[in-house]
Amino acid sequence: MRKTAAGPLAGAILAGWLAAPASAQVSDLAVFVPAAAEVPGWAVKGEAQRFAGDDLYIYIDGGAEIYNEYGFRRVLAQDFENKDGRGVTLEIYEMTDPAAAFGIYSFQTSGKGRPAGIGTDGEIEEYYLRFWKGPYLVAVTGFDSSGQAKGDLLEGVIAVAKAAGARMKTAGGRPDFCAALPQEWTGPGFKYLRGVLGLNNVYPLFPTDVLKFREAAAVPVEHGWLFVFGYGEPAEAGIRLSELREAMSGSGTYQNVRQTPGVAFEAADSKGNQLFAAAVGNKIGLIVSPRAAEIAKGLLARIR
Amino acid sequence: MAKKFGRREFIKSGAAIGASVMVGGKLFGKLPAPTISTPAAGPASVFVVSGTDWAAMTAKAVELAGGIKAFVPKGSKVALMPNVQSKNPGTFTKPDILRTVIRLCKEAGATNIACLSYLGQPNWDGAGLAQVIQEEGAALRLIPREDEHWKPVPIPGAAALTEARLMKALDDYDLWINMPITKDHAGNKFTGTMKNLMGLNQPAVNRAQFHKPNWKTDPADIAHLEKCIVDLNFATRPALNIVDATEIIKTNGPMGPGELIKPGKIISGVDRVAIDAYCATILGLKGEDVVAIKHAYDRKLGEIDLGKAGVREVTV
Repeated sequence: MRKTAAGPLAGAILAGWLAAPASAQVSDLAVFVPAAAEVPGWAVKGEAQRFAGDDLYIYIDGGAEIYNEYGFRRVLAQDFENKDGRGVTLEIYEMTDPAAAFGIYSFQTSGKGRPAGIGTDGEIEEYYLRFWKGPYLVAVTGFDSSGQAKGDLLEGVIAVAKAAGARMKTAGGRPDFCAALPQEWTGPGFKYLRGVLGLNNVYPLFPTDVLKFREAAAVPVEHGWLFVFGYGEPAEAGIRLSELREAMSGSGTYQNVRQTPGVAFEAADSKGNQLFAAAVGNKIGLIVSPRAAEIAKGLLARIR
Repeated sequence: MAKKFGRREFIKSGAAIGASVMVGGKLFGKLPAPTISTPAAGPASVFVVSGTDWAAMTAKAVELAGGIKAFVPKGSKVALMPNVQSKNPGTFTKPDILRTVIRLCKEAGATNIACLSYLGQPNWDGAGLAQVIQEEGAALRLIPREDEHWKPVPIPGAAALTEARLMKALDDYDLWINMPITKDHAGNKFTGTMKNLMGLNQPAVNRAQFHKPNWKTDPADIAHLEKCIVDLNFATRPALNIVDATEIIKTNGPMGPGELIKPGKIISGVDRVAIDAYCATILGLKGEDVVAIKHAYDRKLGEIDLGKAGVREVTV
């Protein structure tokens, strides 16, 4: 049965939205669900699904851990339908803070999408639009039998995303760690990491947390990645670098592990990549690329 | 020419070696003695069919693996385990594949065919699989998450998961067919035949044991999760694996939305390790890159070397 957001429920939602101070945690994520008037031709279909805390596991069976690594609070999923019975789904994830929202956004975004001009960093990909804003990650999907969003579906995806984004009166920028990196490093494909799950999805360094980093960045470079791992003090970065070298030496996965001048070492993996790692202040820079040794000096010099 | 599934193949396919036959109890005891056909083109344990007609590809994949009658004896009761993660493209087993397998099982003389799942009706509706099940006259059994619907199955020699808790409903069937979709997974970069078995295990155990208490990310979680997956594969084994690699997500798995790729393949066989090693290559990985595949090979669950396993590829 089709439902619209009009009526008492919509009134309550609107009242809650208007009462919510900017950037404060809202009582119900439904305040961000667009009303029918905001998305002409589309109406809410069915009840919203809500999951909080550990129950994310029920919603994303087997895939909730990465959200938890970044810091997850709750999610709301709401379907919409147009007169032809075609569907669009809105998902709003409330993360623990804007850095967590940006992190999971960067983790999920390929960098191949086209700018949508919605929310922060909004991008449209084949059949979905994703953006983040304050502590919220928003994904809107709509697809036909070919797995694409075209015509009215694409219009619906954009309309729902735009209306939801407009309802979010919240602020919050990228984490300071990212702001300290050269701006051109943080463009398409850039990823902000908060743990070993995220790291291993970019490059499977070790299945365990050898580096014990608090936060990190993954920057696409020529045929590979530059990783920047952050620590509290320079001494800790030095210790972690030594531990990384020792782990690589004893792993059997990496070859030719050897110390290089300065606080650095190099190695090779089984995929033809060179690895070059160095401590730079309270950070570790790690380049993984067939040309790591060649490009390392220029990249590491830019880590502040 | 068909031959009995002998001891050598039994071990090669990693069929849990004696201990699991005992601990598998009733379920394992009820498994028929499967037979496989010797492929005309020489030994192979991974069968890959490429094309655009998913139903025809599925039928061919089963035929190459030995034919449905080699796995589904007349009069048998068959459980099917497709993946119904979400309705996003590339995250669930295609309806055409499920439809074909149901029809094949019927042709083989199966008397009872059901999909088992602890996921809810919306998952099955959203993926379009509930409609197929209804249209084909099969059953959908949604298993409640409460303890009474699950049975403990000890796993001697386990590396991490010493006891599985499998669906009691599985005992109602003579065999089960594993029907995952291979795709990206944020936890371990890959999901295929072996990980799909988590769909037979009580979700509370998956959550508390595979992902550690309170499922908070633990530094050792990835390795631990992978070991648990392999352990679970010693608790029960599918009669046959049919893997959807037609359209799959290569990022943001397992739920998506993510980048969709279209390899246009369906893979079949008995050896879960070999099949997963092949499917890993579709995602740009090697079997050795995936901890669970490597670990399963080390524990002799199956063959990781595709040259040794033998891969037969055809196009329909």
